[in-house]
Amino acid sequence: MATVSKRVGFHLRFGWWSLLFFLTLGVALEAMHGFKVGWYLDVDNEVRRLMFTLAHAHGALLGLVHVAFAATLHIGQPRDWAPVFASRALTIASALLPLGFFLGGFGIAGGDPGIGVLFVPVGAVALFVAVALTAWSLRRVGS
Amino acid sequence: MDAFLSQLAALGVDAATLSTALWCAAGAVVSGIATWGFLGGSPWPSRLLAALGVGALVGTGAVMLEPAGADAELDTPLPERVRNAGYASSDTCRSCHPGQYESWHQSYHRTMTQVATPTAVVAPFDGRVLSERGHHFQVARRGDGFYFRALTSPRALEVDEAWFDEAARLVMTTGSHHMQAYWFEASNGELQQLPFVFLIREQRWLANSDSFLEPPHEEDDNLVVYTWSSSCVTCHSTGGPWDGRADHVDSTPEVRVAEFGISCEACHGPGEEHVAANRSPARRYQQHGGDEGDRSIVNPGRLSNERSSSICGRCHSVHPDGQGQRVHEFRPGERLDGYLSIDPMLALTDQAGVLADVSWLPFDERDTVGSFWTDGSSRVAGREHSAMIRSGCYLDGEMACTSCHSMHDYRERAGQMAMAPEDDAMCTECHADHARDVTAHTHHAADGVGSRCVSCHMPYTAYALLMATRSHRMDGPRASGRGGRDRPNACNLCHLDQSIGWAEVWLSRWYGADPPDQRTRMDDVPAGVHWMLRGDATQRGIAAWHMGYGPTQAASDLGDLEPALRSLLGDPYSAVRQVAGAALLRLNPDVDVDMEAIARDPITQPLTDPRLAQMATERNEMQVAIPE
Repeated sequence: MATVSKRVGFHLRFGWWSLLFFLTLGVALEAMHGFKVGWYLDVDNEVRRLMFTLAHAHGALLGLVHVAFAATLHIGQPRDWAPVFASRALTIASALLPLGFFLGGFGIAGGDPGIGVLFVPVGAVALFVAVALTAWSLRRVGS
Repeated sequence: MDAFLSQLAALGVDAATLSTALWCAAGAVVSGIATWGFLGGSPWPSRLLAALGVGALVGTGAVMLEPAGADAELDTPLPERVRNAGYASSDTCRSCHPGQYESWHQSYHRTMTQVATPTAVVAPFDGRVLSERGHHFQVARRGDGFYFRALTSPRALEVDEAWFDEAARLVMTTGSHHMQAYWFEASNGELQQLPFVFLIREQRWLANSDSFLEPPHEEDDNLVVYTWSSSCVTCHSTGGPWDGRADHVDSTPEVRVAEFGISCEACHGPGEEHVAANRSPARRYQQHGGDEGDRSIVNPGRLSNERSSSICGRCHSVHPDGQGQRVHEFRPGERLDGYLSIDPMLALTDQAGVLADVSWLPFDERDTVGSFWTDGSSRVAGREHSAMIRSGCYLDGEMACTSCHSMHDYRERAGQMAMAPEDDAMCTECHADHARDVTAHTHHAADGVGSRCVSCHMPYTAYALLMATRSHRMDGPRASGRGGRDRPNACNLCHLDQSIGWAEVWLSRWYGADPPDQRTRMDDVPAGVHWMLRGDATQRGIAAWHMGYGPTQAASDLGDLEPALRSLLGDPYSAVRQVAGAALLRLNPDVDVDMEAIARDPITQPLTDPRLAQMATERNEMQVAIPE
């Protein structure tokens, strides 16, 4: 029980701090719109804008997922190994997905994002695993 | 309202699009309000959500139900645009190269040929009658369509439904910078040009024959009519005709092109292979990391100056008679001289570089000869490649068109200059020694027009579209221009009030040129008068244009030259008359010059000075035709 509580606390903290961080990033992106920063807005930098927007969106959304995951742990009380792995996978995904998108905004060429975008598919796999394990671990809850 | 629409047009939004957007928005608002009212008893969040949802649905549906644009409504077929022969289209390029697409999209290259929509058409189609050599045409607009109708008299008819029943619809435009031409489907299925063009800067219609520097068509009431497939398709579209076979052009009017206007693949070559190859992300990232460039597409920046400039030269060079259609087969990356004689004057010039006597040549061939000065320099604007390839910077150096121009990083739209148009840095990048002490080299004030490199090394000695443009044969000034077909020299084009002998003296003192002989020293005829009265049509036109050129007006006392300029209002060439009329207006905006009248007929202005009158009898009558 103590372990679950610890994990719930971790995901709540992670989720809310993520939301704060990516909210700040969103404000920074809006500021670049406001000040018409060519490095972000020029047609040549379309890919950079897309990547940064995706980093902001995924980061913020995953922050909410962390809060939802904490609630799931607290309400559903799944006790087997799956939530432990799901927790780790979700944490990895929450780091790699926004980071990959963000780094993809640097070194853009020929309509392609920078090489940092390679973190994204790894993060996507981790997120898929996290969601699948969470869903599976709840198979007996309430039944 | 017009100003508002103009601003929208500048943003690429035409009136039809605006109308569609307003109707869709109105539909969305009305349906939203109706939904709000209909759900009167529900909680307000539900009503709000429902109202927004229904409004959005109605608005989206209205957009989807909007009929297709004017292009699809045309009942006259346009040249078919096909993705064939390896062409992929600029839309495909856009997804990976948005910046390059955008810079191209802003250029006049893109708008060289367009579907005749309200966004593209710049001329007024307001029911007026256009007349030329006894032929009369009335032009009018209905909705997004532009029409003309041949009349039997210059009297305008009422533009009603019956009028449109007899009218022909214009389907395509060429040009968007200086002048615009309009195309319709002739009875034989060919796309033919309306025999009038619209001058954009002057905002006036002009007969085709009067827009070119051409001999007067005496006793000839046929209008000048061009067909798309034989005259324009090569350089005013991309990948046309699609299969690259020269015989295809004549064999059918159903010319197919990859794209209207001069688009990405005109310079980079067909891109289908490049698109297919780069579907692989592994290949793309390998390319990004390397320095070799992508071999699946032509990058002019990686070609030699000869091959890079050949891409521009395909269209921007004189096409000797009978060779024009061969350039259909040229593809970027190749050498242009494999397809046409890029310097046709070499065979006709002697060892000193002077053009041989060409008066014996039949007129058609003189048409090519007429495109050059006697020193072999091209004198046709828009044919810069033919001039540049005679420049030392090109022959002995690495200069290419892209040394000064850029298709994607240009500073100004008109000339697509990579730097400010008269920036010395274009030259001093290589000729740094002259930049250290400008006045020592130019003998003119360092910050004045006389000290700009292009003033002396690229004077305005090329002609087209009723104006002079800079020569692209970069060479040192010589006191040339004495002969009736000689290239006017840079010194006298600013100092029109001085004689050619005067220029010779200064060039001798400053740069060690051969000193003038005694006879030349005695010559006191201002070069401007000499060229305007004794020169051939191109010399006359170029000298007249300089009478209205600001730096020439500042450097010369043009008062004594004005009678010679006025006499050109009676010139047999309509184009010379119009250039002279425009220069007179620049000299004195209050002068009474009816540009439309002098375009149609000469207005004789007798020279009262017997010496000038005598010079006018010595005019070089060799026929000149500059079809640009």
